[in-house]
Amino acid sequence: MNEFVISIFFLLIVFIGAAIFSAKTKKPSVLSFVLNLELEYIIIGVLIYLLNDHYFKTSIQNTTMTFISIALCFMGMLIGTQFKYKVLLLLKVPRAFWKYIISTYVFSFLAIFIIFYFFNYKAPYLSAIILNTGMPYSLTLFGRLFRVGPSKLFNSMLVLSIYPAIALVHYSVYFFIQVADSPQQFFSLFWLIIFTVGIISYESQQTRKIINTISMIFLFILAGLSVCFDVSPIAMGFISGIIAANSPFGDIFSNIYQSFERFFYLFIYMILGFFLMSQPYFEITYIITAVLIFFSLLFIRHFAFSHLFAQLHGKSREIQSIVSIGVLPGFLLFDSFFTGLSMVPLEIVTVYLVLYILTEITNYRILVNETKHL
Amino acid sequence: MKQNIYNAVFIALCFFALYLLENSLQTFPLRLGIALLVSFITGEILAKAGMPRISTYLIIGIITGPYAVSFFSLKEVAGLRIIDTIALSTIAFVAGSDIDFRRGSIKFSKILSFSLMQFIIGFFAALLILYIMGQCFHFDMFNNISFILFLSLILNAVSPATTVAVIKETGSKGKLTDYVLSTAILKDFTIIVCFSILLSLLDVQEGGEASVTNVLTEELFSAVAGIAAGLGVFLYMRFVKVNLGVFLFLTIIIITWVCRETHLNNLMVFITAGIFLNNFTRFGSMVTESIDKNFNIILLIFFFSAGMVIDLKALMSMFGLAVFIAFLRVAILYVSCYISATFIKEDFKIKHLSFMGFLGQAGVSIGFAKIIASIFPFGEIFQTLVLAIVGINQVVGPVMFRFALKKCKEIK
Repeated sequence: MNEFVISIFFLLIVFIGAAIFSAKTKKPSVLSFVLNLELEYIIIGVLIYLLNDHYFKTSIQNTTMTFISIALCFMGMLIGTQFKYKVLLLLKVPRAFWKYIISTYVFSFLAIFIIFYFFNYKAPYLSAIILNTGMPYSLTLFGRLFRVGPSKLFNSMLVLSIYPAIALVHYSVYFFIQVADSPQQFFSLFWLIIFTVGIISYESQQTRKIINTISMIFLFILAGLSVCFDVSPIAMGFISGIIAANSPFGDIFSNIYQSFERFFYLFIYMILGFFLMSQPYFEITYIITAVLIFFSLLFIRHFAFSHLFAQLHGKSREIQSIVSIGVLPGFLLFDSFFTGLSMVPLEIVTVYLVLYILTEITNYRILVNETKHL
Repeated sequence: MKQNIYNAVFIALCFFALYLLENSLQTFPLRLGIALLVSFITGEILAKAGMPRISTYLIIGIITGPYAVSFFSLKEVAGLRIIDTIALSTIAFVAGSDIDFRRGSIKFSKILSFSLMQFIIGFFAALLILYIMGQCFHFDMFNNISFILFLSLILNAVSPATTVAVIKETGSKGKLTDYVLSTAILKDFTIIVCFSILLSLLDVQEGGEASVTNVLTEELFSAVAGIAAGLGVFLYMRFVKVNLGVFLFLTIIIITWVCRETHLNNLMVFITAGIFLNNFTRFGSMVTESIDKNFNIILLIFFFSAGMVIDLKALMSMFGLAVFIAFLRVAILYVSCYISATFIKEDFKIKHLSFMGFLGQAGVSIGFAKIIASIFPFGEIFQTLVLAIVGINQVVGPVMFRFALKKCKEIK
């Protein structure tokens, strides 16, 4: 039995199960919130590992790594394509906003770095980049379940939408500086620019009908470039995503990639669960690390700069909730495993998962409390 | 003009990149991506001049493939077979979902008569001509009765995948479209059954173990599996309805793999599943709509990889004879279509133009040739000849079918 087919087979079962499940639970409750975060896919990843280990005995791990490059490029593009014209618009954002976002990012980063450094982890700087992210998914979910209008979450949502971009810029710069054979990496950038510009210029002469096909080929070329030159697929995807989004058909590009967004989230959760079992690291040190990072994030992102956040929303009060780190660290972890940055230890998976659950629960409590006081 | 120059420069740059990249496993995804991009852009440019996109994909596949410029090795092409099979399954699923016997403008009995008559006339006409050629004009290879029996059968084979591809690309609708699509599928099934009968009869003489019962059982099980698959998709669409595109994509991969492992005919499975969904449920059109968005990329992959396996050496070594037989096939198809259409009292268009829809040949014919090559002493020559004929028909077929559709005003 082929490993790829096994992966797809399980994915199909999981997908049907989740589709039925998610179609039925949309109540304003903590259970519904947690279930809709799709965390059960981590457990399914664990089950796949156990089933494979018991019955099939094939190396899913090796096979999935080849598909991960496409998933990672996709994730990079997905975030990159969010920035259609936003790059210029962001310059018009009030100074208080930049103060808030830069302060929270820099201090969170330093805190995570110090914790990793203190506990003697192998690559503290890179690990800090990976975990210091944020994504607006849980805010959107909360707003949908509890019927909280977007105006009450606007600034938090904006901050969490920009966080992934800052994290990816930081990660990409680190990648291209850190990797030893950087001339080759920069050569890959040369080809990336040629293909991106070529494809986008070509597509601008054409009708909308071809965009679907072109975007798929483009993704394939990006994944190919990253495999060929051994560069970060997520960084590749991110750079080309920004360029693609600002092309004449940028909005269609974004829509195409967004239609697959959920599918790739589920995929990465499952792989996380799989890796958690294949390299089990349940030492108390990792739990302590995660708890310490959690408290530092809570303090910095929620309390330390709340006065700056208050300046953002003025008289009409808004919910401040940016503790959540989202699913992006999962993608960055695999990106670093995939490329030359594989110095990130696998135990970070455990730290990430514990931190993810803690931040999501806290985020939920903050949202409920703040909603009451609006 | 400026755009054309720009596109030409970009394509040249892509070829240069392909030239620079060495043939290693690490560069394979990138080479494939660039080659697909070149095929796609060239296809779009030539489509403006009336060339079917799939013919362009084939030609670029031939050029970049292992038998010409060798940007890809034979081993890499063999590795693409699973993707190729998945693409074929998708095309078959769409083909089945497009057939509507309930609301169709043509009666099923008419299509059945048309395809069976066409097949019988075509087969015996080809057999007679090849026999005469062997006896009177000293074509030695045509003196072997097994050789000409198999060749006559294969000359009648069509490619439902090519038919669907041209219909989808042109967006054609009308009587000719319906006739060609339905007949191509029925003829494909008839030829598979006849081939297995012939093989079991002639292989026994050669001491082989080919069995017609096995083939018929496989086809029957494939049809049952197709209904089961269609039922599964129906239940999902009826009760879940979420992310249909992703669900179909995964289902096609899984079923294709099941077919491969259990020796079922994936073409039959997916055509039956599509027919079941379109004729017994209300979800057939939803399947087509969900796949339609990404259908072009499926066609691109399928026909590009089909081009890569066309053996140029074989084509060149038997070019003269292959061209002659290709012309002979056109004449036989025209006569058989004309007589069959007259018999079922069809109009001018079906009588004179429908033959152009059956010129394309692909997987089934190549598959038959490979089986014969592995069993019979004359197999190698037979395979080379068939590959050369298929190569010509596969490039010319889509162009002619498109021409016929345009002539009948069935293209918007």
